[in-house]
Amino acid sequence: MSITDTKPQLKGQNVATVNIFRYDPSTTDEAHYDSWQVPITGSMTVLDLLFYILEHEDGSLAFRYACREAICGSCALYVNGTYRLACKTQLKDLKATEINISPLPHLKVIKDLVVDMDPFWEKYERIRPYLITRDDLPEKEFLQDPADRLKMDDMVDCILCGACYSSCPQCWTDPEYLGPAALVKMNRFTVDTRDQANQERTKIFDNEHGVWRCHTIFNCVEACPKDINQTYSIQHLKRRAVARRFGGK
Amino acid sequence: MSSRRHLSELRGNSDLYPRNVRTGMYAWLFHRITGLALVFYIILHIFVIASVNFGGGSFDATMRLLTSKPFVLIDLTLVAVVLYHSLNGLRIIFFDLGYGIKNQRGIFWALMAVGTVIFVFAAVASSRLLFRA
Amino acid sequence: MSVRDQGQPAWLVGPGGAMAWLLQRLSGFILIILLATHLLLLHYGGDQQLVFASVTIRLKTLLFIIIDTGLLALGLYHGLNGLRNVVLDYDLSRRAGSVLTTVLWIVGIFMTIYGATALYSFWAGRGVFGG
Repeated sequence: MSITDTKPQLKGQNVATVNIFRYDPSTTDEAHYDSWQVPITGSMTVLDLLFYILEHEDGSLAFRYACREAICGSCALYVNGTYRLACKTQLKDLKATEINISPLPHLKVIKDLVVDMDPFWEKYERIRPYLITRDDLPEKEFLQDPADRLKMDDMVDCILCGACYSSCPQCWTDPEYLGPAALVKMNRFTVDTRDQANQERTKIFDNEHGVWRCHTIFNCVEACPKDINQTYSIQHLKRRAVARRFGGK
Repeated sequence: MSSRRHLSELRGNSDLYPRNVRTGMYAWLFHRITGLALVFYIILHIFVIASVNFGGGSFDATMRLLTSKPFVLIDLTLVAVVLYHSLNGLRIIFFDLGYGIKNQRGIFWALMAVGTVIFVFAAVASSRLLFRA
Repeated sequence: MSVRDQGQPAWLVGPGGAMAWLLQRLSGFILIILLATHLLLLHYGGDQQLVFASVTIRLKTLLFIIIDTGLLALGLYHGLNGLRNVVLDYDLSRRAGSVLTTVLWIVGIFMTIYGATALYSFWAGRGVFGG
């Protein structure tokens, strides 16, 4: 039973031309795009499209996915010139009959649509993405005012998909730059009233590979599938760094 | 069956050719370009003006050259460059103070409109220099 | 994780850029005001502003000396700091970063002094090089 046996026939349905970036380091082939004619409906997602190709056209296509509901952050891709989550992007929103699917730009490609996310994780770990407390440990839980919790509200939405990191020109030119995702997470902990490590944290973001490399380019804000405003957080960190410099806490 | 296409055939995948307009990125790019142009200009300008040290004769000759008709257009370009860099710089200062980050595109175009108006005034003023006897 | 500069992790390299960032904004803002004045008075203020004779008169007035000194010093600071930032955007080691900063300071100070010789020559009575 060949891979094409169960393939749906193209019978006057809507058909799209799908071009997918292919690269296999285990072969000597150079990177290229493979092109297919695929029957589609508007409510199909890009991930559905990838499954179609995988199941009926080319079983060697490599791509990441897990939850299929925009929470795991695995399926961030570059589709028709925009940063998208494959599972959440419906074809009708692309408004095109030619669909170009590429891996996240400016990250090393491992195979096809799978990229090396190590630089992204490294920056994430650097900013110490966990609560740091020293003294005054409560007996039970940390009590936090709902108003204080609200301050962190959109910053906890980050699903670590890497789209913002991949879209930032400063990340392209400075591989040591922390990047928008790490800085948002840094702000999340800086603003968290339970966290007691503000001085250490300031040293991590107040340096030439930290906030000062952000030039308010806004690509990150445009790329984010969770509508987080990274620039807003980074600007807050910059103001904090300046306040500290002139004798604040 | 798949057909194979070369990387260069699909322009839609280059970050230089994005499908969404990306105002913020182009604003930054031109801010950087105009900034570099202005650094080059200021160094030149200091050397030219410091030629007062070498006497009025040579200074006046230089200034006559630099205010001659072909240079009026160059001057207008300089005005445009300065206007762009200043107005976008003001926009950046707004963001740094915490205002307007959610409306960054609107603020950019509003400031560009202001800049265009000022530029028109400058062009009209310079045209009188261009068409004087 | 990359480790450079006497075993320090790369991400702790260098002083923070907080002061430079702040001064860039302050100098930029003041430059806008000074430049607007400069352009309106000199370039759109009539035909005879750009001859040696007018320069001589202007540079004996305190107001113009202040405006021009501001433009010189702040303009150079803002521009060279901007250049510094452009170069820093391309990952530099701590040593390269210090060399860059030092070179730019030297250029800035030299240009400021050179410009000042012209600005203050009339205040002193005659051009520095005998003009």
